[in-house]
Amino acid sequence: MPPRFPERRLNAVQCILLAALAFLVPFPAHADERRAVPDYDGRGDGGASAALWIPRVLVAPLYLVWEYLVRVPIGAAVRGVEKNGAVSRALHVATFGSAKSAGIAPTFLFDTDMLPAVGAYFWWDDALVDGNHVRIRAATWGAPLVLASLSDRYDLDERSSVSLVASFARRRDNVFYGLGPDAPDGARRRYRSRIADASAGFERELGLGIHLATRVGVRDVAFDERVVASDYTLGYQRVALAFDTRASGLRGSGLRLETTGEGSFASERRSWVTYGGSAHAFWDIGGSARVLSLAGTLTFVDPIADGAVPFTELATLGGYERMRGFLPGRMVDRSAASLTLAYRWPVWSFLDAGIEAAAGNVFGPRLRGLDAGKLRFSGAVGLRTLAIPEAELELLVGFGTATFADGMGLESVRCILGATHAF
Amino acid sequence: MRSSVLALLLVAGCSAPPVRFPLREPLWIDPDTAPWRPAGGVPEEYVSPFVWDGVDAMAFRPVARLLAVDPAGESINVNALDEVPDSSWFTNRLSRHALGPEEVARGACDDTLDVEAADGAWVIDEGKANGANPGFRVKTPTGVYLMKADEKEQPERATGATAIATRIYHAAGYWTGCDRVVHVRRGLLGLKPGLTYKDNSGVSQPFGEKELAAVLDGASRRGDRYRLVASRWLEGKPIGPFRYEGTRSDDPNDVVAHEDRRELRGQRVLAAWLGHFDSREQNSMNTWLAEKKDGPGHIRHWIIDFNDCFGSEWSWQDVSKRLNHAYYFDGGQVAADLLSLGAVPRPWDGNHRRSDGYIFGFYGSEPFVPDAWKPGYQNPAFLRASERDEAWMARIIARLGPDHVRALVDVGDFTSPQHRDFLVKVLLDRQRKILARWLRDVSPLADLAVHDDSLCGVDLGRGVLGPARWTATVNGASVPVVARENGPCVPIARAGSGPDDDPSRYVVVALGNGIARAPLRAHLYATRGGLRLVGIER
Repeated sequence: MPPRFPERRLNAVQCILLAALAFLVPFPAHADERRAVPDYDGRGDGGASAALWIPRVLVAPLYLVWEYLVRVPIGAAVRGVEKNGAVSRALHVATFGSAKSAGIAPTFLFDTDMLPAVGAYFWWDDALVDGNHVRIRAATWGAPLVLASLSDRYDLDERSSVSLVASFARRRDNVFYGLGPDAPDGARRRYRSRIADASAGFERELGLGIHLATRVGVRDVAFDERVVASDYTLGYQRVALAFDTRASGLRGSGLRLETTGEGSFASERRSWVTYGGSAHAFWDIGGSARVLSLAGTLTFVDPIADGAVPFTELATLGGYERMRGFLPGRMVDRSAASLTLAYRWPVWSFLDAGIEAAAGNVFGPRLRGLDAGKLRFSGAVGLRTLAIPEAELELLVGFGTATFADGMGLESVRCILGATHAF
Repeated sequence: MRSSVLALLLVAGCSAPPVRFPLREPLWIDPDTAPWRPAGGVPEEYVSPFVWDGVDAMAFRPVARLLAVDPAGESINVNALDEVPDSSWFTNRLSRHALGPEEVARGACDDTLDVEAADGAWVIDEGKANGANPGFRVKTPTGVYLMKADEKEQPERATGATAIATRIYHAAGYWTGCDRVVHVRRGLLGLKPGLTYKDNSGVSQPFGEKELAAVLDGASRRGDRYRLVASRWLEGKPIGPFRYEGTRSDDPNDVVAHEDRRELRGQRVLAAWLGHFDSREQNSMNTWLAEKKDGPGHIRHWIIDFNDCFGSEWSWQDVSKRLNHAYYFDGGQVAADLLSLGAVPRPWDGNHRRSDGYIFGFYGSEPFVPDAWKPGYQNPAFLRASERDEAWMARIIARLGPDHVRALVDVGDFTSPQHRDFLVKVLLDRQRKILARWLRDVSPLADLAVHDDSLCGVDLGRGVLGPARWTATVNGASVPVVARENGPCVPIARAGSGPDDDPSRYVVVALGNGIARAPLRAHLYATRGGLRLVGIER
């Protein structure tokens, strides 16, 4: 027999309306005789104020709908699910009984003009041995979109780790607008690609806020339509150095400097280097996690042997990192420069809001053609969850414009909802 | 006909004249312990929905309350002297009797617990069902106890908080269990074979040596002894928590909507003092008290589980900093922060752990604004608390002096004197803020009594509020006030004739302190046998 829940307190008007409904839905009778409410102060019951009766009558239909068509049914459903332990069991299954060190969670990503993706994110800390962290991500939207990655990071000590990463991505929704800062919006074309990547890395905190990351790997890239570009396989070696004066993560005032160098050696004797850096200044206003930041970023790609660099390996803006008002791959060329002013502030324990304005574009070799008039503007505002940094959810609305010289006409409107970092 | 009834009701509601207090003893005992016999021998157990209670409180109930057009009036169970009668919910302790520090520190613990008993004398017969703190149940020669350990991140806090806060609630008048800090050696604990417990996912797990070792491994230590809090099993048969709204449909004694019970509304102030953000229905309990099995009995209402007091932290620091300042989710606050780009200053912005009391997380006297205190999610009774409800609890809290607080904190048995001193200071600082807030607008006069032909009271606001400027009228005529050390006295000339309850004998004394929004109004009869206080309005 299910537990009987305590009755809810109703006002007089609601009682009258409910009494009328009782002809249709009989209420369970109370078997026991209730005692009278004592006259606590000896002055009797003051009664309800008559002034309340008019609004009560007016909103009683709304009340009844909300209470008995919304709240009560939903409550009964949630209580039922809770009572039979479905939530607990699902949680138990999803976390493999550990509740802490391992689990699986659904993921999704909806991005304007791109295929949506739904999938799962699996994590396993201290996998088989202490300090070994396994992450598996997989997402798909049927045959046109298949994404998967596997990483295994092992902590050598508190400051060092090694990792192996393998990923595979097949998608038919890539966009390419052509090279250069003036690539017109109307030149957009889609292409299909298949990318497999495997790499090994080493990371170490060097102290004084300096972080070193190195990685070597191989990547195989194939296009379903040869007219886009030739397939290629490359080996790469990357070194990244970051210096951050902030104590941790996203909060606090300080400076961050990053520099990256990567050498790539592809088939057909093509090879190139990718290098660049960024400088970030953060001002945590009043130490309250309301952070105003300014970031400048430069990226260069230079061939070091005969042959062109595949466009998929060139410097790019747009996507999920810089100039987010544009789709991934909107701007592609030999170098890229951007300046971003951003403000991020907390709105809830698990939710930050952010707003950013950026100017930037891609240019020829070593910023050839750089001109203020050639910059595009990107604006975005959004929300980002904080609970699990590796699988944060994001809601973002952004837009991008033509170059300043071309009048900054609106070229791109973008909405993102989902786990942008889980893919 | 219907329109006539409605009109009659409207007229009745609009034209209620002031009503005199009758000449009778104040109601000090609410007879809600009358025995009754439930179908099946024992009232049905209420299973509190963990998820739904929170979701309902944060999302659905606020809309329902708004549409119900049921603004909170004054509490119902308030007697003529503006106090709460004793009942199955509440017992006047501090509010009617002077209790010394030792009595307050004793709390509900009227037995002894022998931690020096022989090896294996405490037999573990059940793993702890669930909750934040790991534990188990033991049978000792003197009773059954639930034993819980601290969390490693905040050593000694949860156990100390449980022991201290339960005594404060008890002194304030609530039914609470007996919780105390014990340091036990491993050998004292015997383990019954084949035990299981339900984990936080509700799944049954074995509870054996390994699980016991895990509990003890996380416990704070003092030498070779493990620090635990021992909570005595409540008297009666547990039948699930009580709700902070509505009434139990099967309990004929339960006739006052819980959200309109003063002790539940006023609890908000006590919870604010102690940082008891987890003051929700799951941390309450009803027990069925019957002399005989399947015989008639009544329900008693307890408040339990205080381990969140004094700065319990969550795994996420951003959550911990907001505890006691914001609901777990507050749509209005989220919207305000979103739309204002975070321009609204929040009390948790500068919240930080204190170096001299790090085990207490973010519990401190700054930032603490009593009015702005919030539990984890909306408590229906707290939401309806009126100024008078909160002032009532503030008057109770005012009766705890520094010696009481020190004696209470000593019960926490903290290893570091620094932690003890920190908690004493924070409690006193927060108490001062609470009193300054809730003894300000409603008269802080208490313990009104007739001495000879004078009405005298104790000013609980002295030392907290500014100096009082006493004024008084008797039946509208100004009279001089005699200011004593602890409060004022107003001489009252006898008047009237006829029977003792004749209207001509009715006296209303208005006593102002120059601070409260309105004077306290004491209602008396100048009977032939002397003055009798029959009512108080604040």
